Amino acid sequence: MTDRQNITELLAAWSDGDRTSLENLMPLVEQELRKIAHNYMRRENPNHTLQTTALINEAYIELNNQHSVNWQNRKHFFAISAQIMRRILLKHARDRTCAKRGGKFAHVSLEDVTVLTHEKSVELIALDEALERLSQLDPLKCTIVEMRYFGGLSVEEIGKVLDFAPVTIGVHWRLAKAWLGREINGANQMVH
Amino acid sequence: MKVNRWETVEKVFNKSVVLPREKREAFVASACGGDADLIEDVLSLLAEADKDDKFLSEPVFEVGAKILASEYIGLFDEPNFAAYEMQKILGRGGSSVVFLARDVSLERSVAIKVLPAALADDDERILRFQQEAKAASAISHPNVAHIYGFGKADNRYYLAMEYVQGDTLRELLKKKEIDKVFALDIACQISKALCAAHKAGIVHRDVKPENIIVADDGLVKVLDFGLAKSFTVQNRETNRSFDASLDTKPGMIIGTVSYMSPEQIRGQQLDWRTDIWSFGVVLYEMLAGSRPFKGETSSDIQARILLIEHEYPAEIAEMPEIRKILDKCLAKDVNLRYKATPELMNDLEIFHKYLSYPGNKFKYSFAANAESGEEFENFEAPGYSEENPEENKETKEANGEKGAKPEIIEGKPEKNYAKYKLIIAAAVFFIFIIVLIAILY
Repeated sequence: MTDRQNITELLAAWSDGDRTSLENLMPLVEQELRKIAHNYMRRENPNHTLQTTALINEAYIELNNQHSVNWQNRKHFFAISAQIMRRILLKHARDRTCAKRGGKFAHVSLEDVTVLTHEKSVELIALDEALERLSQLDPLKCTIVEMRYFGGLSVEEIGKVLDFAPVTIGVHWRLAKAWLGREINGANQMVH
Repeated sequence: MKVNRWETVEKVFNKSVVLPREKREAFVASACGGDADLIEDVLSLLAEADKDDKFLSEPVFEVGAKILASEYIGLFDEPNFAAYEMQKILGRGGSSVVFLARDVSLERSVAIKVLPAALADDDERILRFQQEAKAASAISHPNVAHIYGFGKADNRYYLAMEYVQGDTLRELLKKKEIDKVFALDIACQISKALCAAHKAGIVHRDVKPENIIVADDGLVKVLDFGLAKSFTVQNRETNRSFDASLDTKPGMIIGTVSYMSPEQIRGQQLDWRTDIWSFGVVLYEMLAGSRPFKGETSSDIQARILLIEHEYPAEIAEMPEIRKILDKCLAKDVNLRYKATPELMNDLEIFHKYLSYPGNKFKYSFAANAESGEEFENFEAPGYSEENPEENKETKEANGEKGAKPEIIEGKPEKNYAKYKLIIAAAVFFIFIIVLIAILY
């Protein structure tokens, strides 16, 4: 299908520094992630937790094989996947806190409670804003936080993907976490 | 410049964080060369790093993956039910979709809330869903949307309920200003629904404009008992109990912040008085056009609900009785609220009657005044009777009874213009005749 060509072209453009192609690339990767997440839920025992890397890895392999995509390196893919997760979670968090719902019966406000609590939603929104500021200051740390927190990758996996020693990732992570914590707590002090 | 500063912060932080705590401060001070801002910056980061909290400790990936999975699994797919013919989607909630459907055997319209097939094995979700069905069906009242059935078909759980054609109160509030007589009428009907629910031992816990439908004929229906829960009251016979396992966990906030009672925000035990609070917020919003507790973020709103006393805009301030009713709904201390929902209903009905027939004089006692022992006799609140004729005038104007005058003004130049046209036409015709005569001779 045209998808295949699209992904290859978009990826090449993105690697060449075309930032806009990322916007077009993301929905395609997202679609793949959704499909695989869906299959997982079907196949696996419902109580079985979804294996983080299994999902992303499978999506990666799928896109590589089926679409004959030659990812320059896995870094791109993992970075994109983590960003997709961040966006999806944020959208849900916003939906929950704003409760902007239209439609006559469209107000089943409580059923996504088990998925995302109100507290968690508020925390996610604050984190997203702080991450935005971190990305201005130190993009690498932002990527590491995205991969670990939203992408669910371990320090070792991030090290492999970004081509750094795990220790280095750990050092970046420690400062990023402290910085984000200070940003978020600083904002909260006014309320509490 | 800024980047360099950050690099310095990073370097000093990374070197000092591995030192024993007592040695850090001196190290940071010397490493920063006495720059007070820089020292403060690094020290605050070190303090944050020392916190042994759970911040960022558990990735949210799994939650995201679940959301992905459940969204993908055809939430909007039309279920194939033998008993119901799906017609269109009325709306969606967090993880369910409401369809307008036709009950094939009874030949009537129903609203069907359907869970996606992916959640057919999610016990907690199903319990919650079932609880909603149980709670709503335990209340039989014209102001509460009827539950027709609950079940599973085509591997999907569904809840069939009465379909009410109309707008949600939210939509109504968006569309137009609700006049106070209508607002009181709606409020009376909501209070009746709450009376019935509370009598059955059920607290709604999520009273808000989105959950109230005003049918085209003015009948109000309260829906979405999805958060509803039974409460325990001494001396109450009809105390139904639902699964205790569905109790909200401590610290877990559910519902819409703006309409939450202080005790709900605090995660404390709730009883029917939480509904009285939320009802108060809805009534306030209908009359004032805005909510009593506003804020930019949900934390701001929560802080206001807990700490700040509500204030009244002019629309409400001019109605002392409404103020009293609202004060008894929006008391932060539950013990200062209406002790029973029928008292609230009664006060609303009296005031609604008064507003509907402003000429009449009533003698009654307001429950909202019970403590002060005050009674309204020959109740004739200042302002209303003067206001009403004007309202009538406005209505007449709106109906076009006074609309003739401007038309006349506009009519004049139009007529003159017509006259000119006639003169010009006559002149042209005259000239034409002359020319014709000249040519002929």
